[in-house]
Amino acid sequence: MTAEAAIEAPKPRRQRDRWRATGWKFAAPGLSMIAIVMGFPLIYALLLSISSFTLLHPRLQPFIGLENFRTVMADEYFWHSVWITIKYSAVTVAGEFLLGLAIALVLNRVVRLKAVYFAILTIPMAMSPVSVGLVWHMLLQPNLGIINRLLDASGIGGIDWMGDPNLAFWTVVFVDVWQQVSFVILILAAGLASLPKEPYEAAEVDGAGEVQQFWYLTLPMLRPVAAIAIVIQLINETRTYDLVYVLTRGGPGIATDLLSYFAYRRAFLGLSISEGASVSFVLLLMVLALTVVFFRLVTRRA
Amino acid sequence: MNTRTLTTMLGGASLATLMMASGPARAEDITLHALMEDVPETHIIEAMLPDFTKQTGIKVEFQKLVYSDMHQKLVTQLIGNASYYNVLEVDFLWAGEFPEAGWLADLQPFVDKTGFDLKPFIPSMMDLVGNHKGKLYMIPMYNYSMGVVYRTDLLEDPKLKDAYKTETGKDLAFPQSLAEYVEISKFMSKHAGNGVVGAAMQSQRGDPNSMEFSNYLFSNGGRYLDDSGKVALNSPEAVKALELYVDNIKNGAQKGALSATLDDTSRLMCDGKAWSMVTYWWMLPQMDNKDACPNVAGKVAVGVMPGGHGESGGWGWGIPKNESPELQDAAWKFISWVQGKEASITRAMQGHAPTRSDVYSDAGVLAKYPYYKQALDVVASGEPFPVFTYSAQYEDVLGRQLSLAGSGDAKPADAIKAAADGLDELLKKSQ
Amino acid sequence: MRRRDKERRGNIITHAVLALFSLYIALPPLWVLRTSFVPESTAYSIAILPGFTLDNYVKLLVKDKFWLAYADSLTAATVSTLLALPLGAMAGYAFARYRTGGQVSRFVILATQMLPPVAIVLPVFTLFRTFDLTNSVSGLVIAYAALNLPFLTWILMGFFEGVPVELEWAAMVDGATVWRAFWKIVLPVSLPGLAAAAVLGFILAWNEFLFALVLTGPTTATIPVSLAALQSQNGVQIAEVSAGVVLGVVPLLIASRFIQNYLVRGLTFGAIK
Repeated sequence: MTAEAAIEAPKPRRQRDRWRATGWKFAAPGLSMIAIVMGFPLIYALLLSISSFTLLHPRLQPFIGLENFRTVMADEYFWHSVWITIKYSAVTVAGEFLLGLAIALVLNRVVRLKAVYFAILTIPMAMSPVSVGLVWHMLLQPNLGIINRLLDASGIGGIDWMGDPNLAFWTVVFVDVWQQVSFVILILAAGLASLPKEPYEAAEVDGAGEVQQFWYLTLPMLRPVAAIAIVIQLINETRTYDLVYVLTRGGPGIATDLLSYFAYRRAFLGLSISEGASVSFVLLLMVLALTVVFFRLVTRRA
Repeated sequence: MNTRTLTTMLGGASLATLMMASGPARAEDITLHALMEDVPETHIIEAMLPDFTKQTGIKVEFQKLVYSDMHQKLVTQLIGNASYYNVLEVDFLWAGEFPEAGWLADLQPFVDKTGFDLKPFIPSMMDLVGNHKGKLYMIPMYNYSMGVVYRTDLLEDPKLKDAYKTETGKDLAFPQSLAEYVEISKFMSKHAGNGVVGAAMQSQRGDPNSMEFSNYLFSNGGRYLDDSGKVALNSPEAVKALELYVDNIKNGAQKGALSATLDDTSRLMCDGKAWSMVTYWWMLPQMDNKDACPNVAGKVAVGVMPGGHGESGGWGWGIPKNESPELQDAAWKFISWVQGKEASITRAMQGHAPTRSDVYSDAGVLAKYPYYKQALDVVASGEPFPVFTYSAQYEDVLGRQLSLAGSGDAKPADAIKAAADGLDELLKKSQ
Repeated sequence: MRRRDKERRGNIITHAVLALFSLYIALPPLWVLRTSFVPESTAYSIAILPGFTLDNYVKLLVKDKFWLAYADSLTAATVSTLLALPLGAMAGYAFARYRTGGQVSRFVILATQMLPPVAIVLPVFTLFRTFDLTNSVSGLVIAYAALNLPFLTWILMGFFEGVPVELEWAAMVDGATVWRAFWKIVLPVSLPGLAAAAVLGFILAWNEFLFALVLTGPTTATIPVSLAALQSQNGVQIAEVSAGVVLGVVPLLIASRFIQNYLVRGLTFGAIK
């Protein structure tokens, strides 16, 4: 049947301790690096969020507990940002996953031209978010950009992609999905490529159709990899900042005011690094909660 | 680990850094580092640096960066005890923040020591970037005061003149008030033809629309602060200015104005697709250029914002406070050289936007750029955006309200009130 | 007969779908490619080629010293990935097989990823400056390795969980240590996962902006920082940006063949006895 995950811990205590120690020996180098290089700044950032550190008063003390959080949460625009960020992450991740899965499945079947498709897929991934923003800004420029020019020429008329308050959000979503879907395809394709062949052969023999094979074999076996792809993308999307900065600056109005842009403004425009840090930690808690819940839901043992 | 240990550790780290960074610097060794915005002004000065090195033996290295990333990079350096950058190029939006944070050295002693003449500097520039709370922290470097760049050929077109006379009973000429400006702008969108709009507007939320709207505000008699420094934004003049601003966006501007920046508007203007743009006055030479903008070269001029007052803007030179005296002296040598009369005139001959009035009236400069006469008017009559610790953040707060009004999500009166309250809040915070 | 027709029809649909999708992905970059070869002033023209010039590339490489940023990006991305991959594989294995640190630690290591970079950029800068690692590519390598390690660990953890544990048991029954089983059995089988992780690590480092901005100086800047500097107060030098984007895409395009090979090979290794 399908592969099992962790080895069970042995029962006798000495063996179990040795078993545990092996695990830690494997994990130690990686975890140490993370702890040293990122752990210290993370703790420092946590301290920042409960401190009164501003660019004008660059000292941690006096510590003011949850004061920063209270200040930030009293701002009505903060909650709007939270809502927009949740909406944005949900929509982009869903879009990337659904589109990505569909394409990965199709890609998995072809043999010829696979190299070409792969090569094309890598292009958006090789562009930094700032570049993606600049390039799409050029394409979507309402008066001079090539897309609107073509729309004008064909009689449909140009669209105000980034300036229409009802459309701007979806424009940013579209650009983000355009860039990120390749990565999801890559992970899912790798996952699909690793699936064992026997179950499918057995299913063919049993007369199962393609849809059944997909639903009862592919999806369950792909779950761990799919879960990881979604978690990684969820984390990436909630942090979206560069695209908003280049395309809309959070506008028009507040239509695209994502939380990480909000945090940046608090820190570097409002000069209150401590407030920026507290907004960031709210974001972290949100994402952590979503991630844990989602992961638990999806990776229940079959 | 407890707080004391942590702060001791950090203190030790900072001390170690300080000790590593400071140390005597001999005159021959001195290299000044400056973080500069990547614009033509910087390139003009960069080309002159070898002369400075020849004269003084001091080397100067520029690191160029885009505006939006400069603030972050500067601040990270200045927070520590030894900044990598020894000469600071500071935007007027930070001209309140930097002195308040204690990052800038008082320049008066340097001025007195070397007898540097401050009189030629235009008062509006000194108010904007030079002085803060009565002390001298910076020397103005170049300005980006705003006025109106507009198409003269469209104003002189007989068909348009007739149509305008018929519609309004008035003669078509450069507008004398804000209301007239918006009226002509809407007229042009309707009648100029060829896809030409009345105004190329940069109404993207943040710096673009804050800067643009300030011109509307000032020229309609509105103000941000009164003479005693209290918020005076919530006035009928301001609300009217915003109503006209929104009217222009809806009926006189290009499609997508709400997300447009200078990049978009200058391309539009250069293409000949707009009658006017409220912008930095030195966009004129860029438009009036046969190679860059063949469609409009020879047909454009610059004028003071209708109503008499546009928005002042500019950069200044500062010296970090936490720096060795030798480096500070070297930095002052550089600043007094580059802003001295001779270097300023050389820069002006290549298109620099001066902050000294004697440069504007220099015969050689006027011969090459006759419109510098109007430019001086624009610069001298400019009024400042509120310069205080949180200017940059206020641009965002104001920008948000303007954008909400522009998209119809807020009524102008409410938006002005919210903007005024926001300013009041930030001012209180900075006390 | 009917089966073959059905296959052929399936094939056509498959390729049609992929072709459409490829257009969706590739048309914008193609326009970027075109824009990189036209003069800045005509960049927004609707014409396909309103004037051909190599000026943008020349200006970018020579005047803006883009080649330096290129080398820095290549170094930072490659070395940090090579550094992070083995560490991530080992940690991922520990999480997958030994549930090291329980449920908690796998989420805790993601914490640094979940924070918007703006929160830790100042602390990281302070830390690195203490060790004189700012303004150097080595500092960036370390930062990227540590920054990307959690994601790599997660991806590899997922792949290892999909590898049947029987393989290692079989090896250990034959006398191999866990260590050997890991390196000789598990890793080769997980090549698709390693490939995906390596690609991810490289891409994250290649495209990262905020840390590069803060941790590097003029000579050690990376591609994203260098390209961002092309937005000036006068506007965006879009033709030059296009040239930079084109150049930036090249390494991954070349590597895509390599990536794909390992993913394809996974098909045969996926067949478990």
